[in-house]
Amino acid sequence: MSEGEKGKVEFLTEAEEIVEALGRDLILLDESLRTGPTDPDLVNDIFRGVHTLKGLAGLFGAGLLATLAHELEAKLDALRLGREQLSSELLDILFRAVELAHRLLVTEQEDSPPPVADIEQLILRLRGGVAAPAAAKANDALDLDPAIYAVLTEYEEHRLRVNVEAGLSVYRLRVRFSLLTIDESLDRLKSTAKPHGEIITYLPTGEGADADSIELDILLASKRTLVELEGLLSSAGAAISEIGRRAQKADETPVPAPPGAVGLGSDGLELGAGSPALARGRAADGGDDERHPRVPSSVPPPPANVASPGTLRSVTQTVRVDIQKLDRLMNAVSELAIVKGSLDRLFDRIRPLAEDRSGLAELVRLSRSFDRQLEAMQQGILEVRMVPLGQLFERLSRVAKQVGRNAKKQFNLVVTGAETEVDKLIVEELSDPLMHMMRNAIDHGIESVEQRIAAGKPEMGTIALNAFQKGNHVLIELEDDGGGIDTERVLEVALAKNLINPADVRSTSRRDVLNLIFMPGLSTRAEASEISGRGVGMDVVKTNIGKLGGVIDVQSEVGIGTKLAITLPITLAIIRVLVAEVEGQTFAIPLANVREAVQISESDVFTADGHEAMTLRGSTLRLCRLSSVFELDRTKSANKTSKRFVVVTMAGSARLGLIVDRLVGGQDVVMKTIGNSLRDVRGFAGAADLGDERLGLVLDTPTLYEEIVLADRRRVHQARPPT
Amino acid sequence: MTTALTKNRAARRVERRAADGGVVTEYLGFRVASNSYALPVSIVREIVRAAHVTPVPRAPAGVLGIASFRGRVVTIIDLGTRLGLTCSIALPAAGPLRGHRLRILMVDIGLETLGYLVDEVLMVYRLSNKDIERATHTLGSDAGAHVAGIARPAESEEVLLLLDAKALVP
Repeated sequence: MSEGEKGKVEFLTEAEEIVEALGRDLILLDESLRTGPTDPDLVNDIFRGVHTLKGLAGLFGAGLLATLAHELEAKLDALRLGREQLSSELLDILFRAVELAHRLLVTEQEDSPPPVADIEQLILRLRGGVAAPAAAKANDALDLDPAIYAVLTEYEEHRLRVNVEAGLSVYRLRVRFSLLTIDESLDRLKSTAKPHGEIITYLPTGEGADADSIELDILLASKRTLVELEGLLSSAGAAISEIGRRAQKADETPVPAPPGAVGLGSDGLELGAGSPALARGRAADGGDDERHPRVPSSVPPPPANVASPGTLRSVTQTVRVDIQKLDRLMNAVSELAIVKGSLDRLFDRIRPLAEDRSGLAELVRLSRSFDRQLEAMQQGILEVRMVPLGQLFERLSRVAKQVGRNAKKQFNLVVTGAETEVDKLIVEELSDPLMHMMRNAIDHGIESVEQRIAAGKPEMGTIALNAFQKGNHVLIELEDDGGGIDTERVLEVALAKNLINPADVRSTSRRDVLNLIFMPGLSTRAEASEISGRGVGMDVVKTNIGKLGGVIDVQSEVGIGTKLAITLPITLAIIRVLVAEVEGQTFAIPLANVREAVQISESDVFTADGHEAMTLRGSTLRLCRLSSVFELDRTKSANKTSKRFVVVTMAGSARLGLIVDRLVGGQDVVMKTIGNSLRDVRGFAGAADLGDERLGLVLDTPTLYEEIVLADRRRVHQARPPT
Repeated sequence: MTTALTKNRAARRVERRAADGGVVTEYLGFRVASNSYALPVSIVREIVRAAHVTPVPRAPAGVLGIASFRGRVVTIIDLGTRLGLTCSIALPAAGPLRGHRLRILMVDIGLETLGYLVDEVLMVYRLSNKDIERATHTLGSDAGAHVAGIARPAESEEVLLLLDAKALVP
């Protein structure tokens, strides 16, 4: 990877993180629109996020993204300065903008053409907002020292005005922090103060600070009285004084700090434009001041080691790693395990010949310790690959809000188990299927408010997204309390589209009918809607989940709701397989897909309608001979007896029995992908080292099932005379 | 620093100017069904003894199967079949390939490493581009499919058919 590409990857990851955070904040904003007053900090956070994104995009020459961020920033600026009011229309535009930003990042990554038209359209919408009448800029209308305004940014000024207008008092807290702990201390102070008011700004005083500490003036707007505040904030060790309100004299002496307070400013508090300390403070605060050049350019910036509140230090203790690097590490470790195996065999061979008894004992001890470390290493790598589903779920809820808004559906999204961890690769591949399922639940599941009321259901629908671990699997369920799937209708459509044989209809169970929704080309909606039905169907969802070694199942009751459940292996890297032999060849079947294995004799197999089947505990099990699907050479077969084994595999709720010659046993294997040159070969999920340097092919049983059952259906259709 | 140096040296070794001014490229010669072929050394990652190859059902003709190579799964291709020379070597089910001279050339093709089974590895030839005849001129246009050129190295009696790596992609 060249330097440039590396830079691009870093840019994309960072930008994506910002966009994701924006989406999260928008959801909170959306909630606050419904529940009550909007937290100004939230709006400001969103504004800052967009500002950072703009800078980042500009830096990396992502012009379109920079333009989008710029327009978005202007809008948010108006919002936070109170020039525009938060409305659901505006939120809609914001959601759309975040979605477009995400899409832009994807196109950037794939080098595909960006959605220029969409962005232009959005920018027009962003610009076309109705500007609320600008708030009176009359500072003098307020009883505040005009000197204070001079050092505030437009935003801070706006917040100050809002608070003062609301009848709150403004206080100044003077605090000294140690430079080493300033981040924590400031956060602590902020969280202590937050319930009692709003922090407008904080400015370094530049006074009384020695090399190891810094003194800050914090402007706090609060309903509380001075005495109350002193009591509440005593632990923070701040010197508090009231400012503003009838322009008090600048030489007012500060109220003595409570005992134990650090760094009480003893001299007069000057909070005016003339204070060089404040001017310096503003210069250091950077942020959004470009538009308000109140600071004389001749004032030097403070020395870098005076930590301004916006520190450059990274907040998180995490490292971003390309998953391919982890794969390489994983390969190296499995190679190491193989080398260790060879060493053990060699050791066993020379052990009888060796005479040095104590040396042998030492070797055994070392070898055991080696094994333990190796295992720890394998485990460690696996853990590193695990990520919580939370991020994906957040993206999903964002989409859900947006889709719900467009479809005019009212529902609550209840998410549980976001902390459940899954292999990173699985999370990536889950994104599209889950998105599609979510859209379906909103579009086809949840009814309109009128319909819900008519059906005697609560106006607000509920969609539950649950994830939890169950043994070596993770279950993800998406459940809605909507209209459910009309099986009659599904059957009708399936018949009309020749997806099932009319002769089979009577024998088709309700469960089977529900599973028809996973067939390509089945959509029960008369017309495809805006949201879903854009060509990707549940069949794609099923295929994608099958590729991950997972299965999807559906339950639905008309009028009550629908539940889709995905069962996935926790990791793709290590899976447990059942090793079986067919015609001398070894295959591995993921145990996740195996229900049971039974011994049969050839006489148990009967033929029904040209298909081999057997009776297993009273019900018919469709059989498939691996030797014939894979066209294995039977002449070499060592198995001349009629004894066979049937491995019963599960694909969702469907069963298929695979006939094999011999069962070798269960094994934990490292799953590896087969090279690109064999990508067209269907039926195998990958290959795995089975020991002795031999590779075994891992069967992709859902695909096999699909292949065999679909082939049956096709045959039926061809046999039927055209009508 | 070190890697850059090594790389430079390697480049110098592979592409050294010959006395007559032509560019010299190193080729690895090998035998497939009694013909001698060669591939540029630069794309041959490694030569390994024929190991356990697991056959892959439904794979296209010429694919012997897959084998584990440095922790990764590599597709093994019978070069003879691929070049249309021989029918594929009868492969014992999941067993080792027999024949003490059989080798697998691990070749980087695009992003993938592929293993090509050859009957025997000969040696490395230094060929000046002046010694290489364009295959289409001498063998007719149909030979051009995978043969990029023909060379008669001074070191041996062999007539080397230089393979076009791109043509090897299955």
